[in-house]
Amino acid sequence: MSGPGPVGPGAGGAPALRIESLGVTVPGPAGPVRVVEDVSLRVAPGETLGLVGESGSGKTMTALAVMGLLPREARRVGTIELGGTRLDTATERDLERIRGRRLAIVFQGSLGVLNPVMRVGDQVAEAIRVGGVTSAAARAARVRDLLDLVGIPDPARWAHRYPHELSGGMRQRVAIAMAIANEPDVLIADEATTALDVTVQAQVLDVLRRIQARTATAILFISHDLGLVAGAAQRVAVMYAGRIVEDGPVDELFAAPHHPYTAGLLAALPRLDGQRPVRARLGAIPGQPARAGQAPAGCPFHPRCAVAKIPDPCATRRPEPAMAGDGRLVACHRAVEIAAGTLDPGPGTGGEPGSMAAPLPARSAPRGPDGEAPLLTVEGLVTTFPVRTGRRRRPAGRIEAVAGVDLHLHRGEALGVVGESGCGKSTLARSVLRLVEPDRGRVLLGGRDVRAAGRVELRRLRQRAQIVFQDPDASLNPRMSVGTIVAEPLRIHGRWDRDGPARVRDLLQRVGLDASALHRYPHELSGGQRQRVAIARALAVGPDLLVLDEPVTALDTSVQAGVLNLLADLQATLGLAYLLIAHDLAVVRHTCDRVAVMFLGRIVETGPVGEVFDRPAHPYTQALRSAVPIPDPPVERARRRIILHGDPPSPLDPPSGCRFRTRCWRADDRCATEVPALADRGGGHPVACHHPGPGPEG
Amino acid sequence: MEVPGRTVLTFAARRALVAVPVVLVASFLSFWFVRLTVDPTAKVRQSRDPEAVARLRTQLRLDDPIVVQYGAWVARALRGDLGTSERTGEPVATMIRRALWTTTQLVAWGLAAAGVVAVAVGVYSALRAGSVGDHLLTTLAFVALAMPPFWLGLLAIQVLAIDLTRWLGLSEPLFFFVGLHSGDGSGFTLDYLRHLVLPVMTLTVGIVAEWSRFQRAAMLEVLSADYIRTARAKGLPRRRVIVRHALRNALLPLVTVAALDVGLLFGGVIVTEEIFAIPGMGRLFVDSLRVGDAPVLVAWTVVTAAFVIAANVVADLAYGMLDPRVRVS
Amino acid sequence: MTGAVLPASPAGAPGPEAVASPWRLAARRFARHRPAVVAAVVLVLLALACVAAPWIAPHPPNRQDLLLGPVPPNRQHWLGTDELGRDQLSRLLHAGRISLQIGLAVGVLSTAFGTAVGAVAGYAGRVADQVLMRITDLFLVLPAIAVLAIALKRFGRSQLVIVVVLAALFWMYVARVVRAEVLALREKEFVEAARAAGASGVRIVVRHLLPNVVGVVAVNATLAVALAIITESTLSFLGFGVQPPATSWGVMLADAEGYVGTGQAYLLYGPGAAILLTVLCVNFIGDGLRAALDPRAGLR
Repeated sequence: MSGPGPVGPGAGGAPALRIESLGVTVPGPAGPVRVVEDVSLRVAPGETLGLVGESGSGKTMTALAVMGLLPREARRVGTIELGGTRLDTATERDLERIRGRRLAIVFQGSLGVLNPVMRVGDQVAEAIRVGGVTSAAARAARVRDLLDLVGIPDPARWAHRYPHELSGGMRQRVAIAMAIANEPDVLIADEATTALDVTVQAQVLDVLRRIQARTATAILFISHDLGLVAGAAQRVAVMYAGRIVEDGPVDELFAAPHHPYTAGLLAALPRLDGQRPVRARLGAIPGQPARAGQAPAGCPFHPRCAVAKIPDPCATRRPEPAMAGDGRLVACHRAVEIAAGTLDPGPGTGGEPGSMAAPLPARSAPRGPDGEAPLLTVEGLVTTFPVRTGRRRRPAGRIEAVAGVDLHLHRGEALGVVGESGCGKSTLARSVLRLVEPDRGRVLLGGRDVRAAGRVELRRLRQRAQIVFQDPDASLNPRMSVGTIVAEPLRIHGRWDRDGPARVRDLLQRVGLDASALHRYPHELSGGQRQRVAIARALAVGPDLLVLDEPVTALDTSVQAGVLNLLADLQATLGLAYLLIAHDLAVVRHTCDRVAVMFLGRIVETGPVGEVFDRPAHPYTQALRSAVPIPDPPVERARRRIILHGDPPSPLDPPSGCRFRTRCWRADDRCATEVPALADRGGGHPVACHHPGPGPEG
Repeated sequence: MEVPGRTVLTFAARRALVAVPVVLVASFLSFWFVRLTVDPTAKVRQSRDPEAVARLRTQLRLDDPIVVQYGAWVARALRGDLGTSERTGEPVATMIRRALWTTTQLVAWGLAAAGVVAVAVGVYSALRAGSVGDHLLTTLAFVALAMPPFWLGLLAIQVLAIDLTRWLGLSEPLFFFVGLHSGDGSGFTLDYLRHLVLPVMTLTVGIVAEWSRFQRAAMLEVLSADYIRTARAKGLPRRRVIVRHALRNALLPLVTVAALDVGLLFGGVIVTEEIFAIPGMGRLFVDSLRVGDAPVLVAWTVVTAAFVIAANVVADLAYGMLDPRVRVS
Repeated sequence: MTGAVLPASPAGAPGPEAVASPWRLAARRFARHRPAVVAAVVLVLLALACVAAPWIAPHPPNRQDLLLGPVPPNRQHWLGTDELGRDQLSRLLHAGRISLQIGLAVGVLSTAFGTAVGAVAGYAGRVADQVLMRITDLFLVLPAIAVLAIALKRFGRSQLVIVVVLAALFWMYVARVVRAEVLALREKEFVEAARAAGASGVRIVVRHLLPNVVGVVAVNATLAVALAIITESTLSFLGFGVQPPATSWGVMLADAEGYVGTGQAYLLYGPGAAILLTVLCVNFIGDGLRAALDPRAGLR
């Protein structure tokens, strides 16, 4: 975001928001839990402060504390000052007067963020009324203005609708409209774009930028996504286990992090821009983020830290935040050494392998297409679903979730399928395995026709291809122990014998869990561990192909890296082929050899990852790539963004011809009448577009 | 932009139309059920005269296929003829009309009172969750749910009508417990209300407990919803948040639950009218079943089924009008 | 290997905690629910007393003493006697035997049958599901008491028949609830994973779905028992249920109805309180089961 903004805490001018030594305690099963401890932040007018943290870091609690919306049982200490007004000592009535007027918040988007039984326009009008506008006509006009400002087309019409009639992106924009209705001094965005598609996210961020430019609002931008923060903020504060571990100007913090946790987070990110050498291991931080109240003594990060001095001082004394030059605040015992450059805090952002990282092993199985038939061939696959409206069970039509897809996958190869929500990639994954019955098309697995297979044949085929799901919570039977879960496929196929238990133990070890996990139950494991169990289960019957449906999306960044490394290791040692479904382009870039980009049921571009991501030919791929944030602030700021107009078309009523044409800046009449076929049009890899070619970003 | 009124009307019309075949099938099955289980020739059988029995069977066309019998019954019913009671000799239609009017009053008052009390208790419990008052009300609800309604009725008569009168030294009971009016009285009078209190209490004790628990849960769920947080973050005063946002959403589920309970109420009147000697559908059922009065039972089940289905449709409509998510179809 | 993970241990220290299976956790949670535990104890005592009625009742339940006539509660007759001089306490215990037997039998039968049908309908879907829904829909339209009363008049009123008839109606409630639960579970990924692994439908229902439905089933079982007890007593009260010379709490209350407002009003309190206490205990146990077994309550 543009706007100079002061750099460094406490520098020049009165801050719009000042937080000093904030602490929040909530009651827990074993006594009170400190979810936020000694947090101090400052945001100047017109500035954006990024607050970064994983789950359990306390960042949302901090936001709630500022707003005065903590749960009843929570206790708070510390000072909160909004441009001279003390919020921590204010009464509830005072706070009510401040909320919505001088201080506003946008929460993480969900279906429930707006009142479902109230019209959208009325809800925005409510926010305006809070600002003291008494005339209904004036309010109605302002509602239209606000909706227009946040980029909702045809505001008069949409104001009469109910929230469930709007898409996720539109609802979030309405939420922003409500928040800025009275031009607050401070706006808190708490994971405001997390639930949105990447292209919609870019639109929403654009709205925030424009608003800030207009009214010099101070923004506290909370996110777990370092890439987002790199482009959005001038200063960044990193939280871990309820405390601030590092706080400084964005460029310096990203280029040379002083805290091992920050360094670890940056190293754990897969990069879309290929800044990492091919097959470099991600810097995974062992363990999982400390839950509030379970932080160990001393520095909360020390059990996971690559450079911790144990036992003293890192395991005994808590590090206090201290200035570390260039306007930075770091809470680390070894900060001085790190700042001086004599100590490497961990794997750096440049992709150089640190002491923890060793390069991944080269692939063992050859994967040339010459001579060898593909392991998986998909031709003309079409899968449709009946549409059920309201509560009546009468179908009102069919959605073409997969509208004619061709792809192939060789043994030992990794193919990524990317797209935004509703593009049909999950359905594609399930259709290939016949977990969902396709309507038309051919699926050949190892030469055998999957669709034509009878019951017995299908069961046999199931041993050759397995699936790992997105949500590790829901994909494990809560009433079965880990050992039983992993053994289940063996039992189903009658392969459970005396060697069974040994095999299960071996599988668990392979995925990085130790034998004690055998008797644990899913609820005792963390998200990353559960996902590893799911992988072990998928490997039990020794498949050749692993279908992975968003395998790391539900995991924290630091945990995600570990699972991605595991997947790479397994592929190398077992010669597995992967069909990886993801919406995160960086993950696909890091893990896969080839990629297919999907839009509304069709593949629009496919080819080797380097080619497609560095030289995309299809406008949609270009827009996607442009929307993905890169955790490199100078690069982020310099990027030219492609902001798509309007909303993604509905799968219920796809546009004729090329389905992307309603959002495409190159579309013409031909695009409306003729469906572009997927073919190599001179770019080196197949594209489905009538006007392929380099985009504005080059 | 479409006119909202028209959508609602088409929605209503569609729902109502769907209900017609349901009523037909339900009434047919009820008819069949009664035919199978209540023998219209039972009395004549006692005379042990096979000829008489055969004659009656032919007269009542009991050997026709059941669908034909049903058809004939419906044809007559549409003309207003529901047969004649074996017990009293009166036209069944008249008996049912009278009884239905009485029971409708009881049920209507019951629904209204139960609704108001349950919502008040439920909302209060949710807002003060965990407090002493909440725990007290929860315990009360548990007791109310465990109590056999007819026992409550008897106890109520004993304690609130008879004992209470004695303790207060009154000349007549504060609450009456026979019928709905004293003597030849009629209309909406204080006397009427005094007659209503105990039967309505007996009838609704169970559903008040159930609804208030449900309302409490619904309210708690709504209060923790994201949009409530949004509303508070907008700076709206607490009262507006609770009334305009929370309540508006929390009352919706109760409508569905209430609809499902209309059937329960019709069951409850059977016992309530028996205890309080109210001449409604419940009393009619008991009296007719005791002697096996087939024509009345047949008509009774069909009418009751139709009534319950109609109530469900009304509730469906009400829900559809209140919840915009359902309206669009 | 950088992927090595530390096993999660809630307290931070690696405790030698034995297997924390969901079942053991549930048992522990139930034990912590005080009302449920107290209710369970009370109910067991009550049930034992009624079962032991032939041995512990102070007087034969049907022995009449016309010379004695109705007597308010005193030392020989803790609950008094009725017009025929029959000891009410003894009658209460014997009646309890019948009421509890019927209630328990109906609860168990309807739950077993309802769960099986509901699970199959929910999982198999389509035709089986629609048929189940339509049938149960229609039976739920008429008031249960009416349907049961009519059926009992036709099929007789022995204890066995009462149990069968009540169970024949109650299983429908259970089936609907189980079906709803199974429908929700069916969409969960661990079921899909089982299908992806090649599990047959039967295996999925038995090994994956049913263990996760147990919570709902257990709670509904208690509701069924409670409802059965109240329904039987209501039917008996109206004269359509248990027939003399057998007696149940409902029959005793029918006898007592005529004495409201008279000096024998004490006849009311015993049987009614017995029903209330029993059903209250059953409900509290159900509440405890729900707190213990609800997967949504979080298994931590």
